[in-house]
Amino acid sequence: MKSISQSIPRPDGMAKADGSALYVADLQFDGTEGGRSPDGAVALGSESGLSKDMLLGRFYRSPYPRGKIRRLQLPECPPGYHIISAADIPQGGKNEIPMAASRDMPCFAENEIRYAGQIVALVAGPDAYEIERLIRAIELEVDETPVVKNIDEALALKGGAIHGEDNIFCRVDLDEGEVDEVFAGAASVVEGVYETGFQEQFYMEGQGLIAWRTGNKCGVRGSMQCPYYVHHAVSHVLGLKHDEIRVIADTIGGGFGGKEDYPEIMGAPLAVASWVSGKPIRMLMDRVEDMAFTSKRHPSRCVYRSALDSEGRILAIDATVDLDGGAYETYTKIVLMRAVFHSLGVYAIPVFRIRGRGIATNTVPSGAFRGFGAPQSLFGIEMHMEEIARRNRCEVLDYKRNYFLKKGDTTVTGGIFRDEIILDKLIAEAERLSGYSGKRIKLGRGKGQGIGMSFILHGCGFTGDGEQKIIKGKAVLKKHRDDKVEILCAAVDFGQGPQTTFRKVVARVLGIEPNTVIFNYPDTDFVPDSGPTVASRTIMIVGYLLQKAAEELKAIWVEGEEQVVEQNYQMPPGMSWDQERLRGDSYATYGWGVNVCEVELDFLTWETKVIGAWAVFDVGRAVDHRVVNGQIQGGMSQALGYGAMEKLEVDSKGQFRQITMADYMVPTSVDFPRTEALTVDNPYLYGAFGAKGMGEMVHDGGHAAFAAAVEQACGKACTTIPLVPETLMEIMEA
Amino acid sequence: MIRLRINGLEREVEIPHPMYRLLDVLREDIGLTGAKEGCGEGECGACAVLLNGVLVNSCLIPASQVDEADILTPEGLAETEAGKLLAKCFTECHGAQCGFCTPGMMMAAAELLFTNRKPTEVEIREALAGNICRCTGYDMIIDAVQLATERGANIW
Ligand code: FES
Ligand code: FES
Repeated sequence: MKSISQSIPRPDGMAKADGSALYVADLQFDGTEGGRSPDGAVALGSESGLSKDMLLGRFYRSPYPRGKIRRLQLPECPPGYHIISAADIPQGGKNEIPMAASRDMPCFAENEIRYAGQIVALVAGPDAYEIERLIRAIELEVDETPVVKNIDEALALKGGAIHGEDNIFCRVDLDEGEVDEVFAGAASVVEGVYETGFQEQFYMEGQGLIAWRTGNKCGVRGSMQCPYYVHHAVSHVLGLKHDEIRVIADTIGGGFGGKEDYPEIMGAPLAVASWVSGKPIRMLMDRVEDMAFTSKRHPSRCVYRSALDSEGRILAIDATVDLDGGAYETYTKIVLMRAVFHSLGVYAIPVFRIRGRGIATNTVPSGAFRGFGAPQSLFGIEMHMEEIARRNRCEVLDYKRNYFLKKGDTTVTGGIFRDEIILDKLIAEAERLSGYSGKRIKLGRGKGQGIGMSFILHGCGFTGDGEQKIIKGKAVLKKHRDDKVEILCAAVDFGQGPQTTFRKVVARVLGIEPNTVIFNYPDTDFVPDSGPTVASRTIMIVGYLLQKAAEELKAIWVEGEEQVVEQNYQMPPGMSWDQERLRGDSYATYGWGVNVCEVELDFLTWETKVIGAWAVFDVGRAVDHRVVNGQIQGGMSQALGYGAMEKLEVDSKGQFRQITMADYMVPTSVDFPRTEALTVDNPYLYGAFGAKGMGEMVHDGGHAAFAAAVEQACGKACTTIPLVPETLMEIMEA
Repeated sequence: MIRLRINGLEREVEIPHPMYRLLDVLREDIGLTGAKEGCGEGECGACAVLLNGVLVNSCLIPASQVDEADILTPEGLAETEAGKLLAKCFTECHGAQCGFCTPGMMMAAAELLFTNRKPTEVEIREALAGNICRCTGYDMIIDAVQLATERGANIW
């Protein structure tokens, strides 16, 4: 039998290539009442929000960055138009967005403004020009307070605290051993400050949703990763019961985390407007609004101090991990947890103290982005290891090898690495493909050429017991009477491949053709909550539930009968977690990787040119080589963009400066060479056919490999990304 | 009012205001939603179509300028042998992930192959440089175009 890894054509490929796949902006009223399109891809008709009288919606956003709201004056509305604000939230509902770990962000600003662009009102109606006129007629008066634009200003409490008394949203601390004692007795100490900037997800399809009301039921559909998150948010804001809400995901033009949190932030006020007006409303963000006001990757500053003995060996690490959370806490706590839990990378360090802080500023609330904190702290530890190796006049790979984690080692939270760790095999492959070690020696230092290698680990699935306690994922297989098998779960394919891989998993177990398996985009009226499509959990956790369900279905299969089987998530045996003390197995298992990047540096223009990129990963087992390699190559492209070119700054009001595609540079087809991608099998017992999560770790290391290569090329430490020419010039002239 | 040919069919379209774009004509008036709006400012190529055989970003073309023009959209391309082959290659090579850039990529790839039957990887990369894809890192799109080059020897 063929290996499951052997790639099949993407089942969703033809509709995407011939232009027939319908994204939320493409949906039109089709004259029907409901049901789905013949291929199952689209929920149709007025019952699903597509009706003739659909209105357009736009937000009125605060032009002020910070202050108390003194007055909000809404203009007279012409017939057919609606202006909705905090006052319209129905009784029983709450003016707050209920996020994973916090609910401090209001649906509509009511008392205060914390960032320029904060949602204050929503205007809906048939004509875009009239909506624009009404938005201009809204008067907002704010007693302004000085703006906090970054971590330094936040810690200095500029203008007084935005949040609490100290602008610290949340802390995550880890301690092991007597750090101060070890430092006191150290032969030397190496210290470094490592900084990363904002990063825009830059999904090609902007945010877009439709909300509607049918009787006493509220619906939301469109571009989203997590239908049940939107479901939950709407229920909270409108005060409706579970079965009074319907959320449908449509074909989605990319997410990368950017459609994890934002569809809640956007969907809740849109649902209020639709609920109050009784009208279906479609809101599509144009590129400028999307770039200016949707959540970005948290900027970070990590300070690492290492105590070394007289032989240059690391005795202890004392580190701080600071994330700029923006104006509201939203996801910052869970991003920070991941950042802190990954902050020692693939290295076993006996004694450490890590202090993580999520910090409040007056910028757009930072949110989810592929990697979720790990790309920030892994950059810190990788560049720090480069520095220590340099001090020791030691080849960095040789130096790092001394500290590689092994099976049975303790995690930073006191858990255990239970599974085989195959870093040596990954390195051997990376060496074979890239010729890293030979080049590293040959290229010298400061001679305009360099090659860098970075290491990655990424905890798969939700942190700690989140899968067990919070998500409680459930997946269902339904065999119809015609013996066609249907997957019922809430996982969304936003490019990362479950339309392909889930079908393969189920088909392989049942011995049927993947293309015959029905797998529609989720509709909460029909699918159970298998959890959000995030956290590198989809193939490993939901895929595994489907594999188990398929095995069960196979055992009871009766031809010509409708049969339904259900599987619920269970924590792998032996895993334990104490959420209060953050002790135990923070992740069920880990993905591992090695990235290599080779660069040339132009000493006149300070432009860098990537001339080679290689990535070798342990993903457990690839359920489809092309799906996995596509993630690796796409992730590398984003990570190199993060390291080399994607500069995103804020102005004096805390607003982003780069809000058009012309200003914010993402990689094009000519910017980077092909990424040579490879996986090495290391099957995981509790993942679908051995698969572990991998969608995020492909973005965890490319930027560090790139920065390490640039350090070799320029001969100086490069501790801040993106390394655009201006930054490199500063580094060289310092 | 303008008259133009879209995917081989004669069309007449009212132009409501001077800012009305070819992209609006296709999406709003004709209901052809294959061309996507990724940026609306000529930077991403998601809205690419062929205008008299030349690749253009339809979000930059005022509708008033396409009177008497001949337009091929992703839907029109998909009807042709060339389009069918390209779509198959994109599907097999996984050149489409989220798919939002894909119709535009298909147009750019078609224009390239119609003018250069045997492009090198460098030439393919250059021909697609106006189309942004955030998902794939481009490599599998290149694979797809290369496969289409091989398989379509008698089409291009
Ligand atoms: S939408 Fe036309 S180029 Fe982006
Ligand atoms: S496939 Fe998603 S942007 Fe290209």
